[in-house]
Amino acid sequence: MTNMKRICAAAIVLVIAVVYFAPAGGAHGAITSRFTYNGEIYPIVLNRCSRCHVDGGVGPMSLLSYEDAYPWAEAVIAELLDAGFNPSNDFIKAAHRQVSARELDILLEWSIGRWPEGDATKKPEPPAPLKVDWAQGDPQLTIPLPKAYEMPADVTETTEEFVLPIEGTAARDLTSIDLLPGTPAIVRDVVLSIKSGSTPAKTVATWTPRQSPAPLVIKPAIRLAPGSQVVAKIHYKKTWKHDGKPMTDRSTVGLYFAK
Amino acid sequence: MTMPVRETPTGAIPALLSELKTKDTEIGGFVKTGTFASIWVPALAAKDLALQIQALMPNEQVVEGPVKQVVLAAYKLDSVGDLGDAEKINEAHVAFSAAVKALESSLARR
Repeated sequence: MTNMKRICAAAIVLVIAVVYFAPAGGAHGAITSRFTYNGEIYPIVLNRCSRCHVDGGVGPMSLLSYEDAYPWAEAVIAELLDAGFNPSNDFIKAAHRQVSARELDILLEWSIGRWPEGDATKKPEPPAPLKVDWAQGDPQLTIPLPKAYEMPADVTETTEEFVLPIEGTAARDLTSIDLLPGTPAIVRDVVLSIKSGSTPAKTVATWTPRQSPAPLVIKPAIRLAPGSQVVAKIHYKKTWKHDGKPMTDRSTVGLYFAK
Repeated sequence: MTMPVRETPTGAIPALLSELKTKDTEIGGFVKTGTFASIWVPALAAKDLALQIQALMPNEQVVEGPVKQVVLAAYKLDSVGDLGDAEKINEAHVAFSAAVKALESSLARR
């Protein structure tokens, strides 16, 4: 037998040996989900995720079109499982725990099951736009930041404090407070405090982005003397989309008073 | 006109629960023998059983928490089973068994 034939024979024997004795693979084969984006996924993300996971929103990606959503399937799995097992009160984890058992099953099966798009005739209309509105209607008094805050390109995360005078010459009872983010993509959470008269600033609410914004009620109401101030401690954070870019924000605080 | 009351088929929920517990035992067997690649089958079948139980309840919300935990734990088992990490798989199975017990307790209280 020539050397070449011996080498070929040895190679064939080696391949057969490797295949025969190789340990069984750990991963199971791909499964195609019975759920589709156009059929089942879109209604869930519209109902549960659209305030944050929308273009311009605080989430790192939009989920409101198939093209935007499916590349993030692995991340969706990881995040939903982590939120489910993580008792943290972090507002992001808390938000991701809001899906029901059935919705969770649909999202996870779709993400694992090769993320089918579904019936093209049921493709959702152009994605819902970013919603930025007051949780309980227009406030009686709005106080924007005195000027736009400029977040430098090389800063990814920072907390800035703004002291905002409350106009008015009469004492009033403050019953709730709210925030309208100027640039929702970077406003993560805001601690709102009131400084009235000579008393130290008192924290009255923490605003976070929510799928269903709710009024930040102040109970009991706080009596605001003339000359009071709102202190807004804004936590800014860029996602990968804006990292390395300069950003600006001019958020507005909204105040509601007893009638 | 009143809404018809949804009848719960007699024995359906107990039978489903029994099957769910069998899946838990099956998973435990695979974990013990290191047959990790097989875990996903009973795990994903189990979460379907839990969801079927919920769908048969007159008030689905009563078992929402425990069913959600079974669903989460089942998918966790599926994801770690693929990786073959024995420690993580064992932890995931402990969580799954606890979720099944919680669902059983919740049903026992109704």
